[in-house]
Amino acid sequence: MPPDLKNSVAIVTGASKGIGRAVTLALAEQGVHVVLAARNSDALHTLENDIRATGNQAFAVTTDVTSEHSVNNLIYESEKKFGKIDILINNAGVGVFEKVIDTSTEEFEEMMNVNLKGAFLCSRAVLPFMMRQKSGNIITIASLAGKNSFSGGAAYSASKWGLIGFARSLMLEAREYNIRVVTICPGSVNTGFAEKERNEPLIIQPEDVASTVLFALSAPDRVNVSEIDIRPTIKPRT
Amino acid sequence: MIELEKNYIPTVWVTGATKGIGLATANAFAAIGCKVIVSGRNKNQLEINAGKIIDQGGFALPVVCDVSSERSVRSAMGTILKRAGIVDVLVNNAGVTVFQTFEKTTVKEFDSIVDTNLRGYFLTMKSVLISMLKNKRGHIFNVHSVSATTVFSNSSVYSASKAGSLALSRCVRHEVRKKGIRVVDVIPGAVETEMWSKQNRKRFHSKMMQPEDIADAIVSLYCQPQRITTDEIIIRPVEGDL
Repeated sequence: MPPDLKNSVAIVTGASKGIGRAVTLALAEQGVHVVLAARNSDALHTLENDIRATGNQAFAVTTDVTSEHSVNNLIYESEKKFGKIDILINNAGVGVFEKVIDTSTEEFEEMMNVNLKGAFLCSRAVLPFMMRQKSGNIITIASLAGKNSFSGGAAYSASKWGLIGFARSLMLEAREYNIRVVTICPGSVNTGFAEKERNEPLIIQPEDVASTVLFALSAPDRVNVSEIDIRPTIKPRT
Repeated sequence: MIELEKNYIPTVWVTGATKGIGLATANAFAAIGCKVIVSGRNKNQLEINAGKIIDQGGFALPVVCDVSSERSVRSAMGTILKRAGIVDVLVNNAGVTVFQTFEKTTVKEFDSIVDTNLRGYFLTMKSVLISMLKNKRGHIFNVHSVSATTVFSNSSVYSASKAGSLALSRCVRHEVRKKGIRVVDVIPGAVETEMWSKQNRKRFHSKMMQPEDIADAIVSLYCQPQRITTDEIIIRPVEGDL
């Protein structure tokens, strides 16, 4: 029997929009108590209210995942509110797509800090709780850019490449405590992440990533879906 | 609850369906209402497996097939097309191994492993792709192993065959992706099947997944929305790799 997610507690970073928002809503729909973390306080509280209106539990904690202090506060508040942490969704991410010659040092550092350091800080902070309870799920939303190189994506790709390396190593450490570490690598997702919002059928929807998160979480306890790559299906020309 | 597309009953061909992951996958597809072609080398066992599916109200057709033989694959495909008309889904699962150091591995063992695990995938994919490309739809699941990308002792030829089947599959996906065919690489860690000795199955039980775990994952991925495709999935026992 797949594990029942009802009443488990999940922290979702980057919950205010895109994939994070879709994952948060999908988890809440399963009866998971969700902690919403992001920098945008207004968007976060709107989502918190929307979820509460459906009768599910949500708790917004304005968080900057690049700040150790802010992440520690997120974990402290989550534990205080719900008494446990079962699931961490490392989703917060930023992307600037420019050639190396045009990428500023600040842009490079922002991507490394949010995409890589943020996942490190959040994972490290939840580990003591999960290790103590000898269970837990750390799901990292990486990207196929972490496996494929492309022109105009050097810094972003490097941050995601690092993230996958981080998650693979974490998986080997955390499994000793029955903690599952899952890395999801989506291709192009329609998140508004790129400057121009795209609506082509070739773009997968945030909800598709959310359903992949649920798929990984619903695997039997003995099974760890350690990596999964998803891409839009290309419709053949008729 | 996993559901099929309305008003359509897909035909699923599972190789290596006499036991283990193949049998579990055939059962899992039958359980959601698919027509299942169970193929393998052991005719009696295939008939027993198909009979059990039919007894449960499902549709199953046993077809003897040695995937390493071009003639056998062609004959099996002919039977399938005659009896079922189409293959919507191919699950390439048939596999063999010998746990042996490199220097003790014989040429005969090398040929047997590569013929089934690599050449077999080539032959079956080739046989189903003709009609899938014509219909502009189809789903191929290629079951490999984490040994395709990880170093293990006593497994050099098996690893080589799995690395080969993974590379083969990735290239096929690259070619047919734009033509409506979805090719999914399933890369499992240790699964408790007869590929392992009784002694090892007992000793490493907690570090092995069950065939149904892989089967259920395959069926879930098959039922994903049409707009997304899972290219690769690595699935391992939580407790550790062997």
